[in-house]
Amino acid sequence: MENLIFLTGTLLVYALAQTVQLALGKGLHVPEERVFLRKLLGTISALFHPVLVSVLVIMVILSLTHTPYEEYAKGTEGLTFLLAPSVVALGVPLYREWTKLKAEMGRILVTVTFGSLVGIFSSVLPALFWGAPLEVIFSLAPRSVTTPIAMNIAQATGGVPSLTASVVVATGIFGAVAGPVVLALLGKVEASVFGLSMGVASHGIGTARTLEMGTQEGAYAALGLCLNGVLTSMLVPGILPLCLFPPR
Amino acid sequence: MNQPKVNQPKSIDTSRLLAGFGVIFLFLILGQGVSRFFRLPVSGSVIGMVLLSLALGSGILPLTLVEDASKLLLQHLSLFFVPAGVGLLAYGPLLKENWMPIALAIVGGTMVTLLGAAGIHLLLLRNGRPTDHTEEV
Repeated sequence: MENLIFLTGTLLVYALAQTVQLALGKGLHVPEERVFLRKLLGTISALFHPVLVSVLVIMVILSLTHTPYEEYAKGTEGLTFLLAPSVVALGVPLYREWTKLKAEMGRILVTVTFGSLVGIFSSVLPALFWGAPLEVIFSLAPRSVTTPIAMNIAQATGGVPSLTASVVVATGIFGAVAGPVVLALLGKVEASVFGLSMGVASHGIGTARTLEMGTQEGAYAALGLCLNGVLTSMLVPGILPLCLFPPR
Repeated sequence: MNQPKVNQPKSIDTSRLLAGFGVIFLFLILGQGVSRFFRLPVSGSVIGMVLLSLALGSGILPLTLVEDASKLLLQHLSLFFVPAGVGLLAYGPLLKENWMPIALAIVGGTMVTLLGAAGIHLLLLRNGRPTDHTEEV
């Protein structure tokens, strides 16, 4: 019974958050001629990312009702379970753009390798300087790749897999919300630039956001997510221990 | 309105949708098998993704079979991340003591990674040779 409440609640909160975002994006009932107000609402709607809103709302509800997270996690296992087949399903947009992607593979590999290294060291270096414990450092290192892969890496290196999962999601939400704004700093960019950087920096949630922009952008994001997952899986266990404990 | 309405009126074939889910799970199992057998550090779902696109590319698997199921999963992909996101709640003390490096990694790290990846790809695109000269892999 209670298990069903968590699943039902999550679905309803998410659906509601999505409706609110959609309504804001459409400019509510503000008349067409008030361009500025409509633009402002459009910007606000990007902040109302359904994952961000749902996570915050559910956190508040769980704290208020003193519900332990473990109980909630058990009740929503079904949703988490669907992550893995969804990653497999990304093979479809990948295939659709394959002929185009194949011709650019050299360039894409350079970008993803660089992005993967930046992703790892931008999480590890500040934590090192801050003197964070090793378990936290190793939980942060794989934060840019999708949850199942990141948890594997954390497990293998001595991080806390469930802490990694949460940090991964926070990274994804931040990337999905702020990514388009940050990338706008570079001016109008190609679909490949947008998609790859979103996929590399904010994995599945960023890819879902990118799919809204178009199939082409989405395919680059899926490829970025996929290659980054593979590279980070090798780079974190491979080079991180060497950097942290240099052989004398 | 001049929106393309190509996909709109198409009704969903529910049995094909079910078969599509079956195929996607089959590739997940295959991916997990490959990952375990070769002791790869990459998770089964990512290998499954690659295998699925290879099967589609080689023509073994018709796109129509998995198209709808994949669309359904991907349209609401972000929903499946919600429980893990709420999980931040479970790390009270660990978070309180280390909130600064964690926040720095999430906010600063993600921005740096976005700009780094976008920047290098822009550089490669603008300074690179035309596409027909790039190496194939």
